[in-house]
Amino acid sequence: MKLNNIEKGLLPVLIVVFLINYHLYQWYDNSYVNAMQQLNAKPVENRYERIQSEQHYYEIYKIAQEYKGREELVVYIQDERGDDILDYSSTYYSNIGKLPDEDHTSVYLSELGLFVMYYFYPNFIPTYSVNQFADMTLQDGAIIISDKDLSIPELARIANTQLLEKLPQLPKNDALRVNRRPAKSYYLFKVQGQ
Amino acid sequence: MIFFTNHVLAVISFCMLIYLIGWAFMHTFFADIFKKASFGYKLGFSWTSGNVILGTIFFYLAYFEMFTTINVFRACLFLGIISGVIAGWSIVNPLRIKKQLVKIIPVAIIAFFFMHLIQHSLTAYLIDWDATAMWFLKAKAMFIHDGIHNNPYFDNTGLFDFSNKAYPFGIPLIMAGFFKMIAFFDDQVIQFYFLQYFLLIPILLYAFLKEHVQLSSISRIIIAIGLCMSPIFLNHAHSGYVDIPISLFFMTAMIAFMHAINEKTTREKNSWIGLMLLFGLFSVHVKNEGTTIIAALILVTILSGLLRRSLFTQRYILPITLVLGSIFLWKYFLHVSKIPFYLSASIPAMENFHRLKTSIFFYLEVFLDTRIQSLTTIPLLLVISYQFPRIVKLRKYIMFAPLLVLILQLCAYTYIYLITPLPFVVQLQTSFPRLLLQLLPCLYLVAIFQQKELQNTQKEES
Repeated sequence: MKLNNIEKGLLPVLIVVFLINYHLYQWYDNSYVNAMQQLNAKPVENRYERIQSEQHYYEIYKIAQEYKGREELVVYIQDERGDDILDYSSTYYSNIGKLPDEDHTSVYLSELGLFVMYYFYPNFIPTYSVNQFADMTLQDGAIIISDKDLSIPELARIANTQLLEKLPQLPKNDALRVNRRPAKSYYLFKVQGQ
Repeated sequence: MIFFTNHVLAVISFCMLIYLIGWAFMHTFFADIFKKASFGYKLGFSWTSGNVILGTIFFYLAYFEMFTTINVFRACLFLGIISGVIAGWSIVNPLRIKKQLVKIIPVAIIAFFFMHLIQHSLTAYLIDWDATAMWFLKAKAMFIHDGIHNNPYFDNTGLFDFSNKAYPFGIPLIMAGFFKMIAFFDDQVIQFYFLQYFLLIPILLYAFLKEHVQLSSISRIIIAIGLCMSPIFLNHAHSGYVDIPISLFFMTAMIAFMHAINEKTTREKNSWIGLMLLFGLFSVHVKNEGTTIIAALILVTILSGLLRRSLFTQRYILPITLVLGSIFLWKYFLHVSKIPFYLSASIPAMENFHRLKTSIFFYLEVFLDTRIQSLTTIPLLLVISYQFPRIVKLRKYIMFAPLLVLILQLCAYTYIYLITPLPFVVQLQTSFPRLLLQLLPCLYLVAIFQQKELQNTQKEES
């Protein structure tokens, strides 16, 4: 390997910069090895299912599979509101043509809501608030996906909450996506008959 | 073993098919420049042109409600056979195995360095926001339905508006083609397809350095890999965002543009411009930013006096016209279907001009943030700052042509921030780091190109 005069000075600088970058890259590499160890420890025969079972919204994916063709039995409740989950695009599109003094609607979409939309596509699952849930007539066997724990004592005054059985969930593990913040919790309930 | 299952083999075969189609296409339509190109160029150009061909064919199938599994399979089989014969002949005919193997070594080193990323792309689930909300949802819509006209996704019902229906869908179409062939919506293995774009960035950068600067292969590999080790590149390597794919399309278009500037013969100059138009135009189908980059490229090409009338009589004008036609049909479809797009205003309101200052300060903040960029941008800034006054002193302003394209693209981003009806600060903070990611490989190319031109001028003077 022949180095010209410029490169004799340049190469040490390049190596130092590379090592600094590599130090940061190593974090990714190590996290990946950790994630793979956890993934390979799972004895599931189907590759897609094995990987998907590590996904934070795995239960939503399973419900979408299980309730295919019976989507009317799925109720999605989103209690969270605020700028954090304001869906700017949908809000803009839903207010096109409205005058400034007219009432403008705000559309909220959390990550949970996004995955509900994604897994249930082409079916659209409407979003309800806790207040709307309180007035609903629930069908036997319906499944409730909620970002709020509906079994807390503060909500016991809502008659519908008495019909719900909380479903167990897999322990959440965000190791496979090493580069993102942990996702928020969600809750699943089944309507047990009136 | 988690890796080698049917879908993993299928996605690897699908990617090989894209390379093969691109290789055969380049060998047929751009033989004069492709035969002489280095191995890295050949890989990069084959991948991008393979995607252009497949994306354009899929678009026409979807437009005419013929995007069915059997048609996708027929198209891929037909292209595969034709490409196999052409590419196979072009590779085997001048067979010099030892020489060919030496060319593969840098590519193998780059692939080996990112081995964990390759494995991760085959074992990661889909989770990132834009990937799910926009690109994969569109892919799902095209996977389920056979076209765009009777597709409920495109009905203006107010449902799924979060996915911005008017955004381009070239990459989702290619994904949907793959899903149709395996008859399963596997949003995991397709990440390997996205990773090809990521891996080709250092490979193309290595090849470009080899063409333009007298550096040893070790220095070239260090620079090429170093660019892609930053957190922002790693985060988007196979996440399903299309910022890395469009970055590769920008990169190939810019390489073609820079070669067009340097090329002596009109015939080859035309070929490079043709290639630039092909990649630049298809980037319109990849992301909205493609529209502004192709406009900037065409403008600077005209200003530089590179656009010749003879370009329009070459045979590659046919694929370019087909891509252009697909863009018109897409825009026409959006218009007649009344699918809204968020950028409705074209003149910025006076009260929005205060955004200029915020935008420019934020650009600098992101550019210099080592938590996002590692040490990839600061050395680049120093090199370009060093080159700038020297080029001005030499008065060889043609050297600034590629930089001018990037500046125009940055101006276009700024203009969009001025007219956007969405909350400005939120849009700026969420989009600009990725916009910079799209341009960063091109900025590396610009620095290398300018350095070469400076050295050539100095040699001529001495």
